[in-house]
Amino acid sequence: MHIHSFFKSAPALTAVCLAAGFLALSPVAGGQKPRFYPDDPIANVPATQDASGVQPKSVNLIYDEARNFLGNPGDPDMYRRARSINTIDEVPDSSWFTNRILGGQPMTAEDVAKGPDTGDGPAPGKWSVASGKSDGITPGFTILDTAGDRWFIKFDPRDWHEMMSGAEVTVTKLFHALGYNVPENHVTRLTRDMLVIDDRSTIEAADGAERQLTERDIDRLLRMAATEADGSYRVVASKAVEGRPVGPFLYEGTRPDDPNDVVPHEHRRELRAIRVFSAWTNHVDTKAINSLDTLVERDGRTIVRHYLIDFGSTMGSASIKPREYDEGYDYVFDPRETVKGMLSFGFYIPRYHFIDYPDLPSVGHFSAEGFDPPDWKPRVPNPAFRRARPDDTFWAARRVMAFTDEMIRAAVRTGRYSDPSAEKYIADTLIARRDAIGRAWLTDVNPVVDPVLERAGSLRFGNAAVRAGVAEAPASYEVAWFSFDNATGESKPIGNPVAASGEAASAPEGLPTADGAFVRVDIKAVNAPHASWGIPVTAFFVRAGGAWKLVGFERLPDGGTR
Amino acid sequence: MSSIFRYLCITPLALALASAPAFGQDSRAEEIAQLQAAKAQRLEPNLPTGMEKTLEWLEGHFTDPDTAYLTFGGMYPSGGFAPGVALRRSFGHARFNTGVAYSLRNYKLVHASLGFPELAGNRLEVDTHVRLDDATQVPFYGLGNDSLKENRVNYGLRSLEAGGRVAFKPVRWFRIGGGLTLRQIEDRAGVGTHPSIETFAGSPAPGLFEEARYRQATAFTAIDWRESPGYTRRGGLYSLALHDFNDTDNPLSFRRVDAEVQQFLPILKEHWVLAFRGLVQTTDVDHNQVVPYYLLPSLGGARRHRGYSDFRFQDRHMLLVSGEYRWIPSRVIDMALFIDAGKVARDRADLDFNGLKTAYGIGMRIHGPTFTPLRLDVARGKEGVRVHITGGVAF
Repeated sequence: MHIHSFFKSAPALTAVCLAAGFLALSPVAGGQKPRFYPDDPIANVPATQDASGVQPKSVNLIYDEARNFLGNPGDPDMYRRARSINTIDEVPDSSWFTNRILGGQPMTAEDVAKGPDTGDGPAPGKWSVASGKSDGITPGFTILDTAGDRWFIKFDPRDWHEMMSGAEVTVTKLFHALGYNVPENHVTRLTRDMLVIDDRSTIEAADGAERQLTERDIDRLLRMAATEADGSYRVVASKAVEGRPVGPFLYEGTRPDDPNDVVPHEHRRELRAIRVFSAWTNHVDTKAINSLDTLVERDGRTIVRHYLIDFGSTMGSASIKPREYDEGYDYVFDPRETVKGMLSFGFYIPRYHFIDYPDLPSVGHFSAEGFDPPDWKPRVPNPAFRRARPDDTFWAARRVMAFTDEMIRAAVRTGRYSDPSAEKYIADTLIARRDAIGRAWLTDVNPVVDPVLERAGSLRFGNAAVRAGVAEAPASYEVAWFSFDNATGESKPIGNPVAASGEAASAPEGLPTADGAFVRVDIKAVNAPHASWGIPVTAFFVRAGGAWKLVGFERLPDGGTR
Repeated sequence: MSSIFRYLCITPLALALASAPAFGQDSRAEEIAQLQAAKAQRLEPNLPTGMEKTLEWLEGHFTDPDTAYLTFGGMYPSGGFAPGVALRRSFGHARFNTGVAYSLRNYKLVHASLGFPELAGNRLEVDTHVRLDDATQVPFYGLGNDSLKENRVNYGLRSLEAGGRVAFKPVRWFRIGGGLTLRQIEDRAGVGTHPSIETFAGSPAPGLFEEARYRQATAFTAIDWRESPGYTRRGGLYSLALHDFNDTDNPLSFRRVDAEVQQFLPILKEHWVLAFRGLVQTTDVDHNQVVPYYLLPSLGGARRHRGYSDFRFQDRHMLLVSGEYRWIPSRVIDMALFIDAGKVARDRADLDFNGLKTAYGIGMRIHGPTFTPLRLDVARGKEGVRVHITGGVAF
């Protein structure tokens, strides 16, 4: 939809397209075509333009889901390399994403547990109820605390105590550590006497009608919630995010009124990667309206910041009840599966019907049994997920595998489960699903990582799959060396490819030594446990100050140039 | 432009960000800044598409508490396809609804209601309503379980009613209450392709062409632990309703008892659901009184025995049992093999399982978590195959 309006003005647009194509694809003046700039690889994507003109725009849920079920919005090319990456195949920090779990600063379990939190929840004292809402099953409030901060208060479904609130807070912490902008969510306690109303307080009834909120309404809403032994209520308090909300983002196209949004969302690796992170946490509800763009001030200008919100339908929870048995295994509507099911008279029984779940109300329907990461599906097809390639899922799987057991248990503890067996089960399940993700997606592409070329010419690298313990090391590696001309993009072999028995190799004679010289190194596995490891990864180094700096890295699953 | 062309255009924009420096920059940061500056020159409002606007309108149409909207159905049974328009408004706790509908068989409906659905902390419901039905060709086949299809005649019916109802719900799964309705019913000659009722060859229809003025008092109670009345895979409904139809002018007073049991049994994590229903309606009259033919319990139709047409069998008492084997091929589609069996009887003692009219069939239902907007049931009974395309659950 955004792309449509973006390119609505055909004549002007054609000129822009041609110009852009020219800039990107044609040789520049004098035949120079540098591959790498001095500031490569960039660590931050700047937002240089003022976005204060961005206007609020909602996304119609039915429209969005219908497009994704019935069509395939986004780039018709389903196998295009991610565009939000820098020259070393990493996602730089931006208004979308911040490298945390594999960022410059190592994270601790305490960092994961802290997440985006700036405090312990709403300030002590009375909560002024701005509005109340009931979907007929669970209540909700918007409140202002004594510090003037706005919080959204959500309750667990009555028969599934702690299920939604625990999932919401735990998965918020995991997604924050993974690098996303998320709200500050806390499990906290509410007592009836904390809630006060005024003349401006409103309530939205189950049928959508809005009217003045009364004390009786509050009593009625609270009756729908489970009470603790002391008469209090366990709630999730979700702090309103920074900035002025301007609506959700779509998982394809760009926002036509945001000048800094120049990469189609379906080609953002950080959005494609949510497929992996969602598979891990069973976050099936990855629709557009569970995101939020806000206008914030940065460096003296207004920019759009992109949030993921609402993690209540994760792990075993579907917010108001445990998740449906097919969730995570099938789309809400899958024509092929549906026809099979219809014609079988019920005797085609999908495998998810045989999965056992623990009898723990706070867990809901969450299991590692039968979890096959590549087969995992959200409720509705997602344009970015559909275009995730093995290099994207590998990138994401490395981040999942970077979570230690201790980090995962620390995140789960923030869910404040009163039943230790529930807390243990959830953490054990996340650990088992993490390992399944490693087995599936760290091995699906050549897993060579972290190449370092020492001053003296010795090359070191790692194997992410072997490091994670999800694959056997290959018999050996083959390393091919090239000189590389950054202006023309031409490579010339330096000697013959050499075999390396471990994760190191020595450079051949003839490696350039002048500052500004580039070399290219191709590394592939020999006799590897996975055929995909035989496709080389390519690293580019530039000589600077007598040392070699990594400036480029490519992990192309098909071995081509895309 | 075609979508392919659009992407041929945007790809170089993005490609430039990822890997290939463009002319005129000395750094990656400058290159990105240039792309953003270029876009800043051609910003466009972020507006909904026509389709999105249409869906927004439709969604508002279905969910906005203050709107005019289109209706389909709700007409007197046998009316056929019946489009209509209605208006709903909310005023604090009050909900007002009014509308008109017209069917292809020239049936007419005018209705209005004022309800208070969430009084006393959602424990009390109060509804009031007025309704005018004008039906032109309601079928009548005679009385009894052995009435003949070939004997069908039509009659017309005009009914004006106004009433109120109060339901007390101390807990979510239990309700008890009562109501009072004033109703004036006038039957007349029928139109359509079948003869009018005054030509009926068999025993005369009780209460024929006698205008009725009823004061109908109702008491009801129910245990309802279904997930939702509009769609459920588990739970049950056990309801009992007593109606007293008191005609002050003509000998048409009677009492009716409705008893219904529904049970839903999920199997293998709701891959299958076994659904059962039993429904009994029985009437009682004092000496010299009759139950008019148009208010007799009846069998037939999409919710009252799918193997037969509306009002196919009528008499003083009615029994219907239904069973469904449902399988769930998708979250939004259910399939079902079903069987309906029922009978009507002049004497309550005959309300047994002998001589049941049976039909079997297959159905497909498109549903949401709490509603069933479309149901297609194909049933085969002794009088042939009947196709029901309707909304709402069979039971």
